[in-house]
Formats: sequence, structure tokens, C-alpha cells
Amino acid sequence: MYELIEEPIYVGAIFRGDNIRPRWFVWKKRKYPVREITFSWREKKGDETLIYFSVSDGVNLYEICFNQRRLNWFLSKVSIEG
Amino acid sequence: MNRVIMHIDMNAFFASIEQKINPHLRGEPVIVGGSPHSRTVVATASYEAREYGVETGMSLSEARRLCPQAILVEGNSAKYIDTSIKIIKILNKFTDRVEIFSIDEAFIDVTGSEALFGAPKEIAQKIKGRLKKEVGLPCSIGIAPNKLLAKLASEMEKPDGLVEIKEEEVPKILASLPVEKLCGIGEKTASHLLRLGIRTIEELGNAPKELLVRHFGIIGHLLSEMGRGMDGSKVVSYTEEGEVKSMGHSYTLPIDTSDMEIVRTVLLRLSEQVGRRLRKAECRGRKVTLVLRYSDFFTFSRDLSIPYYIDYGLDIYYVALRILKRIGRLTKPVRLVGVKVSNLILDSQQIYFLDTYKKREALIGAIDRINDKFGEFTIKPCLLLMETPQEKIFPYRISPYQRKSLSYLSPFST
Repeated sequence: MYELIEEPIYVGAIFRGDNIRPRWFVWKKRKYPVREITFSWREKKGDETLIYFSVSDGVNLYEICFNQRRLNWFLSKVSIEG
Repeated sequence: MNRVIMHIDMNAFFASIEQKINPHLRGEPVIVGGSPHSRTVVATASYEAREYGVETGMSLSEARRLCPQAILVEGNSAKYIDTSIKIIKILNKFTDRVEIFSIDEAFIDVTGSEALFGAPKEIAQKIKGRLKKEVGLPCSIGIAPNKLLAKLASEMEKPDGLVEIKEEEVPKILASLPVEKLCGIGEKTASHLLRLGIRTIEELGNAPKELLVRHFGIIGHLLSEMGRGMDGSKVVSYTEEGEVKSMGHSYTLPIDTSDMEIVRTVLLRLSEQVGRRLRKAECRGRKVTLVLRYSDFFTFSRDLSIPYYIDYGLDIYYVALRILKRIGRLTKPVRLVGVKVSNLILDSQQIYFLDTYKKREALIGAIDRINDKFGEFTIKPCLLLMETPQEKIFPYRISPYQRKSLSYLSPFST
């Protein structure tokens, strides 16, 4: 089960060509390390391309998203299974 | 030269993706379907859930009865389509002859690629390795001299299988397999064949062609070839596919309904979606098909051809309404509604002389541009304003006022 969050976050990421690898993110003044990127995919919303990353900090699972047009990040969902 | 065809089947595709995303789901029975609060069907079940008898297409309530501990995950088509595109790109590294069979299946023709990538089995191993490394998903690959046998081979070992059927092994392999193992022979054809005393593929191959033609018409020739493991069809790359013959959408309602207002509203949403697709593809059609499935899964369709070509959601909707009216009273609650437009032509940028049509064309163009920029259904007919967000389609009501305003909008309304 996921909880919908949809809040802006700060993200540290490595951009190498087409490849984007988020390394950490800050949500509500707390820094979360990205221990594993379990999956990533793209979605088109109108003329905007959103790149989703399912990431784990070793404890919980998060879905973070990069808006390729606006160049901003947001936390989309948090897994509430623990 | 013998052809080398491969069929790549992503194992329990949607469920495998969800298990890849969420480590808590790995090794667990997972069912991918619609919203947990709605009543849709099983889109895919993980192999752990399949062990309990859960199958694709089964209602969620039936799946839950068979496997109460199954974890239901709401599907996300954008995620699956994007992954499918990644897979096709990987297959394209091995050959340009890639035929997309479905979102999770593809045929490739690697005839002549041996010098580049090795023997067929070696190529298949390389593909499996890249798919595992780059998308993290398992697949089964069947290798054979044609598409029919390649598909059969990939079905023989699941999950994560690799089976090669060589030309000389064909008679032995087909000898004992039941006819329904062949792609294209469904339950109905299999039971018809059984009535003729044909149970195995070998028996189908040995059956007199005249008998098959007498019972199945022109398909009889094809069935006879299939029985002998023959299939001359080529791998049609997605870049050289023929023109689209029809466009349609269907929707399974969260709850079976006898409320015609609900059916009509779903019909409008589907018609709008079909219209958008037609306009994007610059097509118009003049045959509309309405598909209905009752609560007992009885499915039927009726169509209506009109003398002009249409590509606008409301026009499609009004033709579908005419069909609905002809069907009359629905005898059972409706489970699924579908709309399809066929008999297509490429839109030749029709020039309108009447101001009403010109204005409407300009309005539709503007709405399309807004929806292109901000997403589907940003601007939509007022009837659909009643909808709660996608998938939560209740309450679906059309007030008499809304119906009146709707008929005003479409010059084709009846």
C-alpha cells in the first residue's frame, strides 16, 4: 500500500547522458539516502515528461519523480508497509 | 536457409514489474488489477498466485476466493508501456525485424544473425541476460523455424524458460500435444475439433483438409497447416506494419449496473477517448461498434455504419447511442462497455462551408491542443464533470439539463 504525498523535495542526483541516478533526497528537512533504485519509468502528462524512480532507503520504499520540463523533483508516494 | 524465429514472452509481466519495484512483494502471490475499491478483473497474477488457480481475466472476487492471501496491486499502464518500449529497444539491438505481438510479447527474426551474435540459443541467452540486467525482468524464449512453433516453444517452459524446436523434432513434439496449445486455436475451435475426433496437433495435421474446410470454411486450410507445424507468416516489424483498421476502448465497471445513465456516461467517456485517438492518427471512421458484456460474461456487439466519416467523441457517442437504442432493453446488468470505430480513412483535412462546422472544428482543435499540453480530459464534456477521478466513476449521472446541453453541442445528434 502506498500513501500519496505529491510534495516537492530536494534531490542529489547524478546525470550522465540519458541516465539519471538519484543518490539522496530531502523531505520535510530530513535527508534520506537512496540505497537502491528498484525501478524507473517515464510518463507523459500533457507535454511534460515525468521520470519516476522507485527507491529504497533500506527501510521504506518511495516513489520520487523528476519533471523533465520544469526541472524539479517531488515525492510522489511512500510505501506504508514498512 | 532455415528461418530462426524467436518468441519472447515476459513472464507475468505486470506482476513481475510490481515485484521488481517493491521487494516486499517478491515471492508473494500478487494480483495486478484495477483499484482495490473497484471490481475489475485480474490483469496479471504472479506465478505464486497462479499456483492457487488465479488466472488472467478472472474477476477479482473469484481470485480472492481462490487465494485470500494474495496482495492486490493497482496497475499503472504508463509504467508497463514504458517498460515494454525499453524491452523492444533491447530486442532491436539484435535485429531490426521485431514484431510487437502484445505489450509483453514479441517475435523476432534473427535469421542470418549467427555470425554477429552466435548460435540461436546463444542469442536467446544474450537477450535474456540483457533483459535481466537492464529491466530486471525474467522472460521465456521459444526458438523455432516459424512463429507458430516459436510461440509454442516459449509456452513450454515458464517462467524463465528457453526452448528450441528444431525442424527435425517437429513431428515428435506435435504428436501428443493437444490442439489448444497452438496459438490461434481457442476453446471453441478445440471443442469443435474434438467433435470431429481431433484432439492432438498430430491428429489435426493428419485430418483430411476437405473435412476441415467443410467444417471451418477457409480457416480449414490454415488449421491443416497448423497441424503440420507450418506457418509461412513473416515477422512484421512494427516500423512496417500496415494501416490501423479500427480503434476502440472498453471499460469494466466497478459494479454491474442496469442503470442506463451510467452506461451512457461510460459510453461518452470511451467515445471521447476513441475520438482523441482518431484525431491524433488523423483518421476518421464511419462504422461504430458497441460492445456490451453482461454480469454473466455473455458478451455481444452490434455495429452501425453511417454515410459520413467521423472523428469527434460526441458524434461517435451519438451513433453508439443509436445502437444502444436498437438493442432495446438490456436483459441483465452490464459489466463492460466498449466502443470501436472502424472503416477508417486517412483524414483529408475536410473543408467545411457551414459556419457551425467550421466553428466546431476550431473548437475541437483548441480543446485538443489544451489536452495535449495539460493532459487528457483537462477539457471535457460537461457530462464527464460529474466523474470523480479516473477509475472512481461513481456517481455517473446525467441530469436532464446536461442531456439537453449535450444534444445542442453535436450537430449529428438525433
